[in-house]
Amino acid sequence: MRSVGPIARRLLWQNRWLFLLLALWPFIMAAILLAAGTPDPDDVLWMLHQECFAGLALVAVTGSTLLGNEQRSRRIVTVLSRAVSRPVYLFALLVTAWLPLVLYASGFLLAGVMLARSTHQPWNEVFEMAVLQLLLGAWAGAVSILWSVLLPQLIASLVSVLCVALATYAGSFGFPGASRLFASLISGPAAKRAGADVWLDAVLTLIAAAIWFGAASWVFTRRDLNLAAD
Amino acid sequence: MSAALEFRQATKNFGRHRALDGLTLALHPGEILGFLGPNGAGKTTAIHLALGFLRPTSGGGAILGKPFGDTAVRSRVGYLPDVSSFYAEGARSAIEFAGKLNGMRNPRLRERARELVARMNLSSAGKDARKFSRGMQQRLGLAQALVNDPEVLILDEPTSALDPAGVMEVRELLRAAREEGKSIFFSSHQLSEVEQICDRIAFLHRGKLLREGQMEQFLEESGRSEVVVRGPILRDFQPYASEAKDEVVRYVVPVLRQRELIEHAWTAGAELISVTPLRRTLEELFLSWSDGGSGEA
Repeated sequence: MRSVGPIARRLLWQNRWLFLLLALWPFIMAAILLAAGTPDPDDVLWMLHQECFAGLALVAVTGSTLLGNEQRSRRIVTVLSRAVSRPVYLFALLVTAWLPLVLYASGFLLAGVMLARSTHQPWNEVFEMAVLQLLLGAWAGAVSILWSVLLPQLIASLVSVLCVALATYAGSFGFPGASRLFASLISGPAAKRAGADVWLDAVLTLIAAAIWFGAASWVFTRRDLNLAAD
Repeated sequence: MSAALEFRQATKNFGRHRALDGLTLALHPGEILGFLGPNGAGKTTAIHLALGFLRPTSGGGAILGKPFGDTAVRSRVGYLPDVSSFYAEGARSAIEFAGKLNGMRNPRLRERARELVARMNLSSAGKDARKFSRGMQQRLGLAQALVNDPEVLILDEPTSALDPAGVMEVRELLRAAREEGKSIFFSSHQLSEVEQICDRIAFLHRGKLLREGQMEQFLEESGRSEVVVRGPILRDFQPYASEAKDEVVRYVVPVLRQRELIEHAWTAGAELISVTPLRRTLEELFLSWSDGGSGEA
């Protein structure tokens, strides 16, 4: 597991400009809203929901493209020819997909608090949304890693984002776990939910993420790397 | 003594195409084995099987006694791919990265990386390994393969992008590694290199092992002799005469006709200057094996 840090650091550094640009996104949106004077609280809430979805889509797309990029560039050979197991390698990809979300969620939190103060709304809901994003990011990352093992990059990205959308849709019918959290994060205020349910859903989300990741590792360990052979 | 690297009836299919067909081959401790074959013969497939990148369709093998794909044993193996790829970092950092992945820790790792940067002449290579010249990248890939002081080295075309000085350095480096008891699996198209440093060769053709044995054995099996005679060209052996200057004629004849030629020369009153059994070059062998696979050329 000590290999995860060095691998993730290099992968993040490769895409640093893209991630930094995305981290600025919440500030840009906040600036647009504030430029026209005091924004309407409903507009602010709507924008925060959209940003949550964008953050999770960022994880889904990153997670589903990393493996393909590494195979195509053959950098994967540099890593897997050393004493690194395939599950550890996949975990490094998951960490790489999830860590930019920390940066993004931090920006989201700062911009969100700024907007909440300008509309005289409580900012604890923004904090809760940021935490939920990080939690659901682990789920979205694990799902996208699984699809990246099974499908070509572009299709894996689309399917992963579709999974986030489907989970959100299922949550609107009260499905427990990640679905319910997605629904509350993207389409309704999470603060209105009973505290006990949130904890239960959080635990179920992490278990589901572990199962998705376990499935991805199981498949990846049993398949050939996609390398051109002589 | 058990083999450092061993393929046991290793077969790999890609769909309907059989890339490797029942390869059985062993790399013994402390030897350099030249792994040869034309493009598409299955050399890289075999290497990828050994490193666990691919799973065999049937059969298998072992590195240092552990089955292919074993993670821990790879910390005792060094691998140089045919095309090295790097992250956005300098040479020393890339070497340290490879060492870290093999479980090495500072200060030993830092010291080893510094030593390899100097040894492989990488100090002036630049800050981003992705932008190095191909030769520099190959040197860096080799440094990465050597960082953990491996017991087994698997090298896929290690000298293809190097200048003559670089080729010589690598040759010396591999000889030194053999002296230290390391086993080297050397896949290459640089036949002169293979001829100079390998103890044994294995020739793969269309996924099958066609020939395997000591280098000397193959090179001596030419089946032809050079007979140099002073005198007129012998009529019966005119097709074998390759040069004639100042009445000195050089004949290259099959060994079976050597005695006959000498007798003819004596009968004709010619002077026999020398008789030399001809060695084949590895290039000739390669071409004959690639062509028909019989090696009888």
